Amino acid sequence: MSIWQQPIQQVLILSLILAAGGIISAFFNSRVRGRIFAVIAGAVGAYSTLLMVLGIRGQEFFEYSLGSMNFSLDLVGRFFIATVGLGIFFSALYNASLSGNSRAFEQKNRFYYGSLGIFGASMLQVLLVKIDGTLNSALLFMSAWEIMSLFSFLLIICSDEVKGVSGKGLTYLLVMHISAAFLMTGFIAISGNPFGGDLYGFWALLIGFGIKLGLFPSHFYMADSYETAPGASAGLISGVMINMAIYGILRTFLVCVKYAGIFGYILLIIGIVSALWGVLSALAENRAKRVLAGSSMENMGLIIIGVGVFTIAEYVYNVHTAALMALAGVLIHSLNHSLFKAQLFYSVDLIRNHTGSTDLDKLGGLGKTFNNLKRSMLLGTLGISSLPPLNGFIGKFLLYASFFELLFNVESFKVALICVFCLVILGTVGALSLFVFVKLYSMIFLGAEREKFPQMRKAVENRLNSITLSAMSLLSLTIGVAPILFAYNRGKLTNVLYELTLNAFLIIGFSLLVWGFRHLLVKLNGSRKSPTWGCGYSNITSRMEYTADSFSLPLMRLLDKIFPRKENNEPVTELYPADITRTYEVRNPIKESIDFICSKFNDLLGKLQFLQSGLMQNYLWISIIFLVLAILYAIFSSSTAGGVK
Amino acid sequence: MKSIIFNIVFLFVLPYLMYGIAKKVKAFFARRKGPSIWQYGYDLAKLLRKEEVLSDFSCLRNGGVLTLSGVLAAAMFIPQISGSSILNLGYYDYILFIYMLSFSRFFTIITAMESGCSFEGMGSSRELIFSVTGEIALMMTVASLAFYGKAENFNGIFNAISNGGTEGLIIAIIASFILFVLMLLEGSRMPIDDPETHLELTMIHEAMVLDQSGPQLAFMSFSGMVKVYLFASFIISLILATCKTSSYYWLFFILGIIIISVIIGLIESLQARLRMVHVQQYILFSAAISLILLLSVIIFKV
Amino acid sequence: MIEVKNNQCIDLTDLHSVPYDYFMDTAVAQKFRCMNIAARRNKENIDAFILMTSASSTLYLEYVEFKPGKVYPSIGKTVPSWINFERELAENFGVKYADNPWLKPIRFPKDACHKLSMAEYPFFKENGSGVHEVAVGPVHAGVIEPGHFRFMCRGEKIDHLEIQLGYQHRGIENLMCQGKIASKRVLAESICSDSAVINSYLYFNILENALKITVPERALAIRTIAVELEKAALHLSTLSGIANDIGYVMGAAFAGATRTYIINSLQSICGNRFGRGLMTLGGVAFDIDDELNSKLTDTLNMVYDRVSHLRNTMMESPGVRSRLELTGTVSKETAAATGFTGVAGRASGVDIDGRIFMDNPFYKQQPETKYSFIRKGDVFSRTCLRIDEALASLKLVLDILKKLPSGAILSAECGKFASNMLILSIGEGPRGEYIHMAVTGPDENVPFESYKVKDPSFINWFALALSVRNNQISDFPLCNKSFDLSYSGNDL
Repeated sequence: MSIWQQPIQQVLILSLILAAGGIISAFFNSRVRGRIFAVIAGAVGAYSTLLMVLGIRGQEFFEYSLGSMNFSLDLVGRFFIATVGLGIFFSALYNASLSGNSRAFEQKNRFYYGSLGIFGASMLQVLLVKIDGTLNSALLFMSAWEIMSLFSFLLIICSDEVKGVSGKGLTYLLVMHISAAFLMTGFIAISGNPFGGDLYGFWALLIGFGIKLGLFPSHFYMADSYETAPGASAGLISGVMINMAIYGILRTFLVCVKYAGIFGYILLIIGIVSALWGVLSALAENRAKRVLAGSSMENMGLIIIGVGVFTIAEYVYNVHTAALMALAGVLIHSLNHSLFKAQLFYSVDLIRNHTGSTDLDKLGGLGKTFNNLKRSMLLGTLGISSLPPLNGFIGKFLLYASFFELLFNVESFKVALICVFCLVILGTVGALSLFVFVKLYSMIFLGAEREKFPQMRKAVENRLNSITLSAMSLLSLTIGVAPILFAYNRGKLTNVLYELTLNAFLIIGFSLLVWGFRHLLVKLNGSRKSPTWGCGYSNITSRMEYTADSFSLPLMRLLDKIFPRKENNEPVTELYPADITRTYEVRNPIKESIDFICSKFNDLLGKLQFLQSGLMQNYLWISIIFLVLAILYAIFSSSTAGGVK
Repeated sequence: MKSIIFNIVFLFVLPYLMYGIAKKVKAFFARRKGPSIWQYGYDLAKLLRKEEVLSDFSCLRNGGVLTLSGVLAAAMFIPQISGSSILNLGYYDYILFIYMLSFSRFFTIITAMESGCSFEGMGSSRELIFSVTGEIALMMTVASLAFYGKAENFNGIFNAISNGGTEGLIIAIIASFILFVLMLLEGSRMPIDDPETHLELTMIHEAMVLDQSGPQLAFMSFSGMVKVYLFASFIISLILATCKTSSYYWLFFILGIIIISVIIGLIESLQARLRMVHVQQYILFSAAISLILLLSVIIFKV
Repeated sequence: MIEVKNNQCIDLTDLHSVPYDYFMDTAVAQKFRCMNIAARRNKENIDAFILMTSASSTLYLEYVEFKPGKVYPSIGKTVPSWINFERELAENFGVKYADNPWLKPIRFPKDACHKLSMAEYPFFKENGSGVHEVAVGPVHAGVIEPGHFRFMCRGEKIDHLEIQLGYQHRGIENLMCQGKIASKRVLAESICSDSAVINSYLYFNILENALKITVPERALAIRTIAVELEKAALHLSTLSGIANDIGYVMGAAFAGATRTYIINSLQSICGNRFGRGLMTLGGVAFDIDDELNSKLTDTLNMVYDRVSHLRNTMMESPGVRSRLELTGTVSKETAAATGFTGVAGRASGVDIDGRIFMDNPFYKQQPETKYSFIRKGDVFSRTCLRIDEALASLKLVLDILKKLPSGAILSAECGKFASNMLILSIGEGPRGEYIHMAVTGPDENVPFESYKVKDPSFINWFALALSVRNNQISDFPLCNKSFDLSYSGNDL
């Protein structure tokens, strides 16, 4: 076991290998490149998974210093390292399965691997930094964080979608830097510098990490970025990278628990709002990648709810079982989310490569063409809708359990109300996400083909990406069926996870039983196929299929004020109307208001342009006025200060 | 062991008996003779013997299987005729119960959507929209009940109700009311959905099974019946817990099943079906009642 | 343009064709409502005899010659009640209209000028994303005639409904002109089986006018009884259907059972529950004796009480009202412009009643109709109106039974068949205004050169299409049932 005694060093070396692998593979031709990198990433993924699985059994805590840089690793870190390792591996594997002959594709691909290696390495670095509240650790953390942000930006812009990539990518970069500025401020504040004390520091950190997570109301940039990003990057960023912010929140709040109470409740509120908003915006959208972006926000909201209940249970009410379940829920759910979200992004990306569209109103009936994809995506859908026996259910169940634990162990009106309310929210979000993903899945794969796509490329689904996606869904299934792997001798948590394993076997057992029964019946009575019943009409077209928009519209009409739409909605009034065309667009009020503020600010700057006259006299005047004002301010402020003294 | 077998046997008898009784009551009010109360059982048996015809578009052959297995798994957690559940799990089996129902709903809808027909789409969309509101009411009820007994499983809930005296009775009655509405929702009964008028455009559950036949249809229909039976069992267990009956429990249970079936039949005979846009409000109303349940539990406990 | 009366024989030699443009100007200026157009081929030209009515319910007849190859401007473009008749002329006789906004196939007859198959019907289309179509029919759940409904929906809301009929087209009008008169009663009764009485009534009116037969008063009374019983029966069957559609089991069973009493009464008169075989040339084939009279009176009194009871229970039930009120509304303006007749028109406030044209003494005694509800044109209004009309019909039947005139039930006289005449026959039946028009042939062997039937459904189907706009699609079956229109009456 001695090989596991120095995991930090090993992870550091692995991260270097990963970064180097990315750069080296860029020198090979496109066929070999993907495989080389996939092998390297596979090694990293396997190592990190082993690290996590072995770490579950113990409580070991490792520290390592390299010069002035301090690193540490504990169970939480191991979880996230596994998330990163697996995420990079699957992303590399998926990207390796793509093929293209054009020059643009070649360039993009080369660029992608180079960025991916450094991106993965920087995430590993982020996870290893020991955050102890000193400025030194904060600087180390932030430098890794910045590299990560920068390379995530590069991953986003290496897309073959020409229109609007740079603009949306730049928005992303800008937002990331605003987030980084908040984080830096926060770190400086909590490290004891004169910036207004801890509370402000926490606010700054919360805002910084919140922006990264895309929590309400800073989610406005996410859908655009994910939509333009290439699938392999979008899956990685939305599945894996934003988990880093969860990690950050966990770490920084574990360091300073003074304000845990307040922040617990704030996190709960933000989490609830984000989860609801995310799932509803996913429901409002009808473009697959935007739906997935909304769902990312929802899942981050759920995880933040988990962090909130963990904080409250651990530091306010000292209910350790609840805290343990919440923490386990958070960790397992972020791992799960990185699996199924990336899987869904890759699946949707394959669909986009195949059809050139992610519009759910146009897709449909692709199940026949993409048989393997359909199967793996069904598992992914089950997982992300948090249904047993898939992995999503495990994290969700632990969150429920933590709320129940808190509910049962604290005698307080407030806690009872909050807990039941949160339970109801969890249930509602669950039902809504079921809605979202039933829509996504069925609108892409089921029924008849709504539109014939001219550039039908059947070859898009090849063996490698089938294996990748199947492996991801099987991994999800494994976690779902055997969550007991995650718990070792942790009291009630182990019992609960044991029960979940039992439950998963129960449902699988029943399915097999009824399946056997059906099999027998079909053998006796036969089974055949026949056209869908269309009331005997002889000219059934695919227009007579429910559209994605119609599917969720009755619910979204109730929320018209929150999720407004731009559409030509006039009722048909003429007795004998001529054909009309309906269009609609889901609006993003928050983005619109930010755009509005930005344009106003731009106008203001434009108005101040007269200052920039180019005449030396004017500049001199301006500086004199400024000097006079400064002197006046100094005199007055010192005189008032003196007066107080 | 005996009680488990007892439960399982009646799990396959009572569900369609409930539908049969409700139908008989409706027939009585329409001054008709009506079919035998076993008719639904005969129908299921007939469907099981039929050839299975699937839509050309559909690839998922086991949608009905998965739907039914989800419901059967849910049936493991609810106490039934013997007074105890088939499987006693220690922790939060009520959440498992809710999620098993979601599991079966997921596959009902996926199977429906496979056929690529607008009627199925319509039915699925309605089912999902109403299930969101239904989830609020169900989760609130279950959480309140669990909180009342600080119960980590169904048995704990019933024990607490049983020991709660008048408080227990009040809570049991309010909860039964909500569960009754949810039962109508899950079973697609009146006034939420009308199982009798076979009009494609107005149905919810029936629209989803429009393109199914043979064993698949039998599984789907039976799942609906079992769902109603499970909610009825939940209600009866709550009510009987307040009475502390131990001897002849099964007799009281069957009596309860008959009473609930008759009430379903009465509602279907005497009330017009709700307009589709009002169904949402109807379920929201039950969610509002569940808020009352929560508040009364908090008042009793805190 | 000449003013005409119902049951009038107009000698064709007295009629002179007017230029279309001149005629169109008057029709558009006066906003005449088109009631029926009988047409025949005259060498290569098409003779059209246009029956229309003014706002003051005066009947006018106009004779227009359409020339092949010439393109005519459409009256329907400005006066919507003409659109369907123009479509029919275009389909049956190839008359070309320039700017009719809805020149689509109506029935797909064999010799249609459209040359479209049923599957190629040019539906109104909403393009763009998010809109889905719902195609219902021609095979429906339950015992419903074939017809295809195409909805343009977004979510649950109907943007537009278009109804494509013609699946039941049997060529009734052509069959009427072929062969002996003797077999035509059955054909008239088969135009639409649940309004067999009114159709045979109108058919015999035409024959009796052609043969100058006066129907004895007793026979007329029995005919009126049958017409009114048929009307009440259809209203009750509709009520039962409405109750069934809203899941109101008791109401459905009650109304259905009550209807059975009525049609059984018809059966006790003539041996057929739909009144087939009751009418005959010059009178009726079955008499009502005193014993039957008292039996009928008892039954119908009981039925009257039951229907009143239905009015007081079902229509006052909050569940029922919330379901019916403000569902499927047709505004008064629309109903007036498009010329909806019968329940469809009257429930919206348009008082078109075919009975004012009928020279039937029993209708003259009827008191002014009073409406027991506010006519908003929604399903509730139509339902209430049906109950009111059923009650009024039953009342009338009871009144007639009380003072049943004595005398013969068959007329003995018979004149010579009037050749080359245009004969009108207008009546109010269960669904509204039924009109038969016939152009008699040169002798009895070729009785009719042209026979034109207008069932009110021909116009009223469009009311259904309008009523469901912006309604929930789940309310469509209810709206459909509240109109309860005939497929075969439209398709002929």
